[in-house]
Amino acid sequence: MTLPAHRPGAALSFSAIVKHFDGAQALAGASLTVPRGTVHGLVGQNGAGKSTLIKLLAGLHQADDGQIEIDGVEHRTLTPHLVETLGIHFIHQDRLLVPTFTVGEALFLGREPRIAGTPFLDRRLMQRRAADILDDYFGIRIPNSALIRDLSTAERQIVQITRALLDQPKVLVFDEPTAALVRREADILFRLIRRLRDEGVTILYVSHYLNEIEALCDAVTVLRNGRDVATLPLAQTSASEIAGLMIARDIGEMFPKRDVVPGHDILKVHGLQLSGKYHDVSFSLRRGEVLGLTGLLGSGAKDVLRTLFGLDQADGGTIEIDGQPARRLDPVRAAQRELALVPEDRRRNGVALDMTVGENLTLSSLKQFTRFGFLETARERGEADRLIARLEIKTAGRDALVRTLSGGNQQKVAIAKWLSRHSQIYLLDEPTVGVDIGSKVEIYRLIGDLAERGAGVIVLSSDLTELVGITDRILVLFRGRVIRAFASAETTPEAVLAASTGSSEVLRHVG
Amino acid sequence: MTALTDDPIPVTRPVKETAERQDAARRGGVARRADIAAGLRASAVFLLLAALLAGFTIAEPAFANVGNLMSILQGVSVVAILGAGVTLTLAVGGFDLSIGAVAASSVMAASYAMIVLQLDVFATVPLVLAFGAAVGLVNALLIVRLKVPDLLATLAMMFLLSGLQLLPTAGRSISAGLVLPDGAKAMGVYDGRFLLIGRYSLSGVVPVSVVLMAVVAVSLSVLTERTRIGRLLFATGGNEVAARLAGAPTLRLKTLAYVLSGMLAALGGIIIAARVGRGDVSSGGSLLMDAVAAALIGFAVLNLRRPNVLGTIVGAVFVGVLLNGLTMLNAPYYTQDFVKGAVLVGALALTYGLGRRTR
Repeated sequence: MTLPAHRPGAALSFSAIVKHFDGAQALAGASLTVPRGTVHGLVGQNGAGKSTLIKLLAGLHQADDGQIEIDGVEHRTLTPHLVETLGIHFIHQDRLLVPTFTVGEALFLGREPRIAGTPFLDRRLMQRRAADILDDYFGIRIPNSALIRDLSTAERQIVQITRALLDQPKVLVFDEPTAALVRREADILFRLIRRLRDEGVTILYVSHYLNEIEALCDAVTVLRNGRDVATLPLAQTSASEIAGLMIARDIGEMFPKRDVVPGHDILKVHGLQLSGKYHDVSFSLRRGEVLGLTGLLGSGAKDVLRTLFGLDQADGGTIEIDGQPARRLDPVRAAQRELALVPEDRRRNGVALDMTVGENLTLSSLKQFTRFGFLETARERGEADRLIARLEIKTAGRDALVRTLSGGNQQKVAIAKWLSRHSQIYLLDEPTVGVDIGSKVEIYRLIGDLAERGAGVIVLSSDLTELVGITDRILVLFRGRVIRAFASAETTPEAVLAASTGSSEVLRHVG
Repeated sequence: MTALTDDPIPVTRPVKETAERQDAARRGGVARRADIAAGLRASAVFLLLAALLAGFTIAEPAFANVGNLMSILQGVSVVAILGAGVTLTLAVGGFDLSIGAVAASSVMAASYAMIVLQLDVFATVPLVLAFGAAVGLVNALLIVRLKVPDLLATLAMMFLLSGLQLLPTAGRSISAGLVLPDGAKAMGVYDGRFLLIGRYSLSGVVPVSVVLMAVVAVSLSVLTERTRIGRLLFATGGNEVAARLAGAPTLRLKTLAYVLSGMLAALGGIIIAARVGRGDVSSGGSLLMDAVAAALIGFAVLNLRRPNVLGTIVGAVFVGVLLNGLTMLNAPYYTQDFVKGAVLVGALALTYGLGRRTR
């Protein structure tokens, strides 16, 4: 398909896109227009609908309603193959490459050039074209025979970009490209993006890092709750303005008030470090306190949580639980010391899909329903029914398999399971991701109840409105360090967001 | 700060019950039909079993006499006991391919203990059970510690055991008067009390092996369905990460499953040895496949769609009844494997195809 490369107008145009998953609305009439030959940023908090929009463009899902135009032509159904023929390519962090392939095989997968008139692969041509692009755009040499799995993350990304460039793309979509890159590698990427734009390629750039958006993009579209709330030229917009738009303000009533006087320290962490993940993390948690933890992907916040539950072992530093040092924690020992972890990826780590709702609900608290090793089924069932009612889990009953529930209800099962357990310290990893508003409020209330009966709660969340609303203090991690601590009552989601995105004034502040 | 209460989450009861009842009444007809369908699926295996019993009795009245029924149960007891072991390893998300070989080498071990080492029943039985437990422990070490995939680890163990059982006697079967590799003659004989395990019937009616099968069935059913350990076994198989995060010692649970599987296979071997009274190098040929088939047929029982001990026992009995009845009706022996296969295919279709819709 040949289209004039530099026509004015939109390379991509989404209008009034609606998309539901399992009854939950992911997009509620979002629009996005990307002019040709520009770098366009797309930002929004988790769950705002960014990734759904990208997946629609990639042809992985179909929109329920709305219009998608590519190069001025409306497309009713997109397939991954059609999208590629239209010249749209996607650069993801690390996915979509077969680890056991060589660079050459990965680059030309599905479009291997053949020696004219024969079925044989033209290895020499493949070698030459790959080397040309790598040398020209990146100034590096990656041998075609190297295995993908032996490459660094940055090199894999280069391979992906090269693969796209071999096709002379019209549109390149970057989805959080720098999350796993170090500073110097990111700089190389930015130079490349600017050069591609100057050559007429349209770039859609999705990122959490507002400083990157500020430095790189011509314009930015902000998504919130499945809608586009603004599209702004970057020349006249600051990062803090964008942050303000990303955060909803109309849900102030969601957060139940708590009246708890925090007790003594129940958890003390000093100088904790895990090389490559985080360094010198120190904090304490008091009984009755809700501590927020946040940071972007790769900031180390999640790794700190994993270490506290004994899923990873720290290289250095100490953890004290209730005044007693905790060495060599593992999940069994952590549970014995009355820690509970609610993991984020609940479908994979939180529930057993082929067990019943009831069995899942009591899995973590089974000891409470056991006498001399035998299950007290009547009490167990009662507890399951109570939890189902309390969290309004939509299910045929406690004997239905968890597999039959919708995603959001599976999440509720996972959370209810952990919260029903009698623990002293709760570690909650993104407790409300993918849950509808009503259930969110219910979960906030549960967290409040836990604190009121004297437990210490750590909530890791990237929903900053939520974090400011339900916590007492917030620690912000950035690239493996605690760079700011906030008292929740005296801060705003915007300030926390600015800190976690490493916006320049904060970095200056830290030195 | 409020004091810690027993109930971690204070709960308000829903006021929806009446609404639900009305709703249920409205959907009454549809719901009743669905209930009946679900009930049929849950009891399908039992209904078929009853139909088989009735059909065979009509065709051949001798089928229904107590002696024949007991001989059916005695015939399936070893397969049922081994199948219970398979059920345990399936529950933790594993698979034990070595059970047939464990049973066969247990026959040899029991014979060797009595005939060569001249031990009595009270030493032989614990020794052979310990042997089974040890094999299970090695399996568990391979799978849990060295992370060898379960199918491969237990397949390797199967080969190892079928070779190992030939070593002490240089490949000869063991019976009284065996000539050992060094030329000496073995002086021991089978302990008469040991033989009772395979040959004695309580009150002349219920064979000891059937009693053993019942004990295994009841105790393992209780273990898996009624205790915390059992629930955690299934949780380990259902989602190991979730179970581990819930504080379940998943590695120990897996080890437990393989050790029990090994011991149950050894118990099966003891029963075979006590029945045949000698250590035959070729015993235990089809045990593995039959036990696995029983466990898989068991998925369909009560429409549980997961490994369960009761189902496994029923599955084994079902196959036993079918084969016995067909034999009485003069079906040739070579049709047996075909019949077993057909039952297995039917049970799996029932489990995965028809059962799926309602669960």
